[in-house]
Amino acid sequence: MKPYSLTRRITIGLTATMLIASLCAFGWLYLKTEWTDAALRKQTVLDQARVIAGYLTIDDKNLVSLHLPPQLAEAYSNPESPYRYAVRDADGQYLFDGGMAVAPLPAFANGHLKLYEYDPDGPGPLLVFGAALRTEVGRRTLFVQVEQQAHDPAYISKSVVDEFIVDGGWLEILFLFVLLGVSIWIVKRAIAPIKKISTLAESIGPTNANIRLPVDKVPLEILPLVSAVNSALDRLEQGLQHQREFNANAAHQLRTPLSVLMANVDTLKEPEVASRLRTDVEHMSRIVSQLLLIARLETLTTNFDEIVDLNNAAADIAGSLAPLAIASAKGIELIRSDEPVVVRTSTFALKAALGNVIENAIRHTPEGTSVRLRVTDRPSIEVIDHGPGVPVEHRAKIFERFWRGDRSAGGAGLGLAIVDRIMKALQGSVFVDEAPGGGALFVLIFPLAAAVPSLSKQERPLAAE
Amino acid sequence: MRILLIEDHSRLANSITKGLVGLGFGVDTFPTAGDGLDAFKSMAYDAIILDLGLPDRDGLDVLRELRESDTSAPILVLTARDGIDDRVSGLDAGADDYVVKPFAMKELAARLRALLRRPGLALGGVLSVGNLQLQTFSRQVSVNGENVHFSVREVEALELLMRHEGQIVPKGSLEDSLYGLSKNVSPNSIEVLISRLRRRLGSIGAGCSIHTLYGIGYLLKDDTP
Repeated sequence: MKPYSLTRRITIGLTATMLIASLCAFGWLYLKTEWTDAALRKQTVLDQARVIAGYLTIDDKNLVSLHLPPQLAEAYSNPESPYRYAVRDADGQYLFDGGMAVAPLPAFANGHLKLYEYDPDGPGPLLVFGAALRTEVGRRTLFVQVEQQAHDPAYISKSVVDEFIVDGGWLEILFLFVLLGVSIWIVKRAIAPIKKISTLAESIGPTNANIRLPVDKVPLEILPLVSAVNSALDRLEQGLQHQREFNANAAHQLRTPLSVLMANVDTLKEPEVASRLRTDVEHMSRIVSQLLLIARLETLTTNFDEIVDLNNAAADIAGSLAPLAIASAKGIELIRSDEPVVVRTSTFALKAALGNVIENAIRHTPEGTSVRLRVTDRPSIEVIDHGPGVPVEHRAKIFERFWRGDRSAGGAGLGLAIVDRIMKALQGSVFVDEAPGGGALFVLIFPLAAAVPSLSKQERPLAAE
Repeated sequence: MRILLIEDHSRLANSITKGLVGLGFGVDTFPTAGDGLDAFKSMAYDAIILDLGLPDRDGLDVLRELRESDTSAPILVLTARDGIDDRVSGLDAGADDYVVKPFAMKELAARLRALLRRPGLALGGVLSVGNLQLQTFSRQVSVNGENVHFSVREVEALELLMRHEGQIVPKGSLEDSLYGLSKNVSPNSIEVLISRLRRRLGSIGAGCSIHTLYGIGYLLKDDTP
C-alpha cells in the first residue's frame, strides 16, 4: 500500500467538514428566518382580519357598515404601507376596502379561516400573503381579507446568498484557512518527536543494539508502537547476545583441542605428514581466531579514545608479524612519514585490521620479496606486496565475508571482511589497487585527525624509535 | 631446568610435557591449582607454565598468589582468551608472558627460552642460538665451542638479539642499549654495526642470521633445521 500523509488526510478531512458545516449552518439560519418570518406574517394578517371583523356592524335594514378607528384607517389607506384589506359580501362583491386591490377571494373548503399566498406580478419581486376570514354579522355572511405585500422568497434567498458572499462568506473562508493552518501546525508539532525517533531508529545496528527509542516525548497514540518496537529490540538484542556468546564460546572451546592436536602433530615421526597436518591445523586455528575476533568486533564500541601515532602502531604490528614473514623467507619493511601521524582509534581494532592486511600480503608476496608498509599523512597506511595483485573485477568482492579469490591460498576468507568492518567502524575505509610495478596495494584510510586534540611537541610520540 | 606445568586438560598437559622433555626440560605436571601450588612451595622451579582455565580456582588468582610468593621464576600463562583485556589483566597480575591457544610447541618453547634467557635466570648466563653461544658474564662468543673475538659493541648487540631470538628488536632498543643517552650517534651507526655483525656471523659459520626489517627493527633467526 502506498504510504499516506497524515497531514494531507487531516487537511482534506477538515476542509470537507468545514464546508459541510458552514453550508448546514447558513442553510439552517436561512430556513429558520424564513419560517419565523412566515409564521409571524400569518399571525399578523390573521389578527388584523379579526380586528377588522370586530369593527363590522349591521343595522336592522341588513346594511353592513365598517367604523375603523382613524389611525387604523389611515394605516390601511397609506399607499406606502404593505398592508391592505377588503370586506366582501357572500357573493364576493367588495363592500369596503382601503383603496387598493386585494387578491381574489380564495376558496373556502370548510372552516372560516383561509391563509393564502398571491403573486400579483408572476415571477416579479412581489408576493402577497393574505388571510381571509369568514364571519357572520347578523344574518349576513361576510369575508374579511387582510394582505401583506412582501418580497418573493426567490428574491429574498438571492439577496441572502449575496449577503452571505459579501458579508459572511469571506470571513468563513478565512476562518477555514486559519483553522486548517492551525491544524497542520498542530499535527506537524505532534509528529516532530516521531521524526526524531525515526532518525534514532535508523542508527540502530548490531553494534549498538542497546539503544532504545525514547518514550517520554511520544504522543499517547504512538506510544504503543514505540513501546512495541522497544520490546522487539529487547528480544533482538537478547538474540544477538546469545548468538555472540555462542560464537565466542564455540570458537573458544575449540582452542584447547586444537592445541592438543597441534602438539600431537609436533610429535609425529614422519616430517612430511606432520608438515601437511600442521598446515591444516594452522588453517583451522586461524579460522577459529578470526571467528573469535569477529565475535569481539561485534561489540566494538564506536567511542575511540586512544591516540596513536600510525608510524609506531605500524612498527609494532609489523614487528609482531615479522617472525611469520621471515619463517616463509619473506620480509617486511616500513616507510615512516616525516611527521608523526596521530589518529584517534582503538589499538585493538587497528591491530586486527592492519594485522590481517599484512598477513594477507605476506601470504601473497613471493619468497625473497618484502611486504612494504607506508604511512602517509592522508592519514593512511599502505600495504604493498609483490604478488599477482587483485584483478579489477575482484577488488570489491574480496572484502566480502568468506569470499576467497584463490581457494588454495589457505586464508580463512574472513580476514579482509574483518578489515573492511573494522575500518568502517573506525570511520575510515579500505580499498585495494594495483601497486606500481604489479602486486596488490591495500590502502587503509583513517579519519582526518581534526577531531584529535593536537598534541604539544613534548607529548608527541617519537617518529622513529 | 625444572618447569612447573599447571594444566587441567590431561591430553594437552601430556603433549606439552612430552614436547618440553624432548627439548631437555624437566617437567612436573599438576592438573589443579591446589596441587600445583603445593608443588611450587616444596620445590624451586626455574619457570612456571600456568593455564588460566583451571577447575578449582580462578587462574588470575593463582597467578597473583604465585607472584606474591616473591619467586624470581618467570611465569608463562596459557590462555584460550586473547582479548586485549585478558592480556592486560594477565600481565597486571604478574605474568611474564602469555601464549594464546592454540599454539605450536615450537612457539611455547621459544617463549619459554626467551623468558629463561633473562639476566639472572636459568638461561641468562649462557645464551645460545643454534651453534652460537654467548657467555654473558665473560662476554665470550663461541661457535661450535670455538671462541671467536667480537668487539664490545658487537657483543652487546648480539646479546640483545640472542635474548630476543626470533623476535623483533627495534632499532631504538639497540641504540639505547649501545649508546645510552649519548647524543652524538651517527644515524647509520647501527646499520653499519649490524651489517658488520652479519658478515662476521656468516664468515664464522654461525647457524643463525640477522634479518633487517627496514623501519621496524632486527631479528635474529636460528637457521638450524
